[in-house]
Amino acid sequence: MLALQALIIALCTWYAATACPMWLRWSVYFGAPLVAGLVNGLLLGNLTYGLAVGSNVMMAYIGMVAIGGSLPSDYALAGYLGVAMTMLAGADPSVGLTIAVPLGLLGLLSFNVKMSLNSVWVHKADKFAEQGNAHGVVAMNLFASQIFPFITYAIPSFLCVLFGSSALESLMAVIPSQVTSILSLAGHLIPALGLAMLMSVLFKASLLPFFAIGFALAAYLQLGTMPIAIIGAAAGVLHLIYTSKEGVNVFEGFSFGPEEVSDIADEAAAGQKRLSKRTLRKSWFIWQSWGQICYNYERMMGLGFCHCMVPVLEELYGDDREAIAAGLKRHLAYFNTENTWGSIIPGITAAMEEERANGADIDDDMENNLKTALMGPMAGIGDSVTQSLVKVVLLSIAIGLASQGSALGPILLIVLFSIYALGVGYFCYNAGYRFGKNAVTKLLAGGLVKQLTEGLGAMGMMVLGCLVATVIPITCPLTFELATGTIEIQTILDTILPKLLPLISFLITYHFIKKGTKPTTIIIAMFVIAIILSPLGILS
Amino acid sequence: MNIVATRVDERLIHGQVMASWSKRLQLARIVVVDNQIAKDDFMKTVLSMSAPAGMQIDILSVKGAANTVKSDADSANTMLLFKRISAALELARELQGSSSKMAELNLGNLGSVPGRVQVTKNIFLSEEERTQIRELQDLGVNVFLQMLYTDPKVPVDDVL
Repeated sequence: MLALQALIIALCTWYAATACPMWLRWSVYFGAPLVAGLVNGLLLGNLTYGLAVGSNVMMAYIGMVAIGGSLPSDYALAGYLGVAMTMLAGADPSVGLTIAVPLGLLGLLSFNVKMSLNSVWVHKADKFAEQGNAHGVVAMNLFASQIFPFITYAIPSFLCVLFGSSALESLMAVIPSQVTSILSLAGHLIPALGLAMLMSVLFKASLLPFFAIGFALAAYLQLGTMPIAIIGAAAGVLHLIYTSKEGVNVFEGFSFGPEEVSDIADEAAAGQKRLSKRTLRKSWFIWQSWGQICYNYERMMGLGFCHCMVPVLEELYGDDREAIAAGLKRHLAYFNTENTWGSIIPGITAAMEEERANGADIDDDMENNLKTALMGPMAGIGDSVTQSLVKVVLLSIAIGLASQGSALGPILLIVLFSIYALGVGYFCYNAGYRFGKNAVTKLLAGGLVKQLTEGLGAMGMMVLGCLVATVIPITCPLTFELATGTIEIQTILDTILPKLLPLISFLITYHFIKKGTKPTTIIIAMFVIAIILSPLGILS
Repeated sequence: MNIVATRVDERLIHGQVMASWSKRLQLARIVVVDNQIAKDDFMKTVLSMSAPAGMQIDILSVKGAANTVKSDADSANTMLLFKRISAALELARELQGSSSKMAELNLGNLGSVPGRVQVTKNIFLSEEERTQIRELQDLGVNVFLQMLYTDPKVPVDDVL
């Protein structure tokens, strides 16, 4: 039984870490602990326990962002393996973090090894491209890319569950309750780190009132994350309307206007090669699914980009092996952007390929220069919108639901994040194809992105305020016996400001994050604080 | 000009620069120094527009940047950003002897292209670029590697 569970957990870890399509990975990887709570809860037959552990572990990771191929911690191992190990050991949900965080840090080794070794397949793909063998290139991207991650993710997870869980369980049984309460206090403090990191990304002085509103709604009115997210969304829109110079024309940027689209139909009549809708859809879907499945330090998303150009090249050049070989080779170059908003670049490239096949004067350098010129700015936009805003808002709603024991939390996260990724990606790819490189200036000039950032920023700050009040569950258990009765310090604190201690611990952590203290140093400091304050009964 | 960071990053203004460096250093201005981009109106538009509200973006040629660095009295926290090491070297030469000579240069990201050899996970260098780094060092510029603000600074001599 344990072997079967170990196998399923190992496969989940590996799948979320690398093998699943990118549009799904946003939720199952970046929300790994939460989704793992659902998966492990079902697998181990205790859904409530699973969701409790999952939402606890998730809190530490909510504010972490992975940018430009750098990762603060491996979410797959912290999530799927961390939650499973906690549950198999029968540990308290608040101890889950102590188990998950080290696994996440060890997981960076799995990530780095995979990122280094995967370059091998790109070199193999180079050879296939030379021969014009598109199937070979695709096979490298889709299948070969999974060999090393399987070794670095699935096998360690399998062994860890199979041999480690009983050891961890007996360890948990013998450690004194004092140690457990230290671990639990540390587990309650660590979310402050994730939130502080998030604050450092979202911070904007003009948005601070939203933070205060979110905090007050949660601390005084005990509103959950869902209602606060709704109020936040409304406040974000109002904020846009009242701060934009044009007044009400806030959402103008959402459409490109019909008059700009119409000239495309005329071109088709000229009897030139045209990419079919089907090919474009295929190319888009490959990009959003497998664009970074073979992520590696040498070419980053280069192989994935080449893969998404395969249907385009095949339709344009048919049996002309030489032309296909040349196309494959030029698209295997170094490429790195954000998968969602970055979809505009394969869209533009598809349009350039089409023009080129029709005899336009476009050479490899022109295509490559445009790709490399746009990948940075699009990643800048994508990383901040997708990871710092959309992810945070969706995760906080999901954590709120899951911590109340509702499986809807992780499910909603998966559904909404996938809709966001596919929706934005499809829009961007098509805009890129239709308008070529001008799509980028149109997208940016419309102000859509800036408005989205500002509005989501307001909403994010409100949700952040709510999270500070809800996910750092520290209290002061000190009591004094007096002749007139017992005085509880926590009651006094509550009369000053409910959730005062969570707010203070958040502000202190944020202060250090701003000063540039490393997250690992802060985690260690939190354990030291827990070791001192927990036995003294000052914090719990 | 109040230069708080000088960086070579092939992807210019992207996630790492915006989310890590710009937040931590409280950047208000980024000056992109590149002779080719300074002539390319499309790229100038894209770069200026992809920056968040409140961030000033200037795209200057090496000569233009040299004049601005020497004469501009702006106190905003500024990052000098290069696409290529050669532009940084050119600017360092221009500034040599002036009161605002280049003190340091951070190699942030240089990707894998034919002719370059991998040095660290995200830095690939050609022979020519190695020579340019030596020349920068000869000009007294402290060249180091640091991808994110929270990463340690690695002296370039440790990896070459």
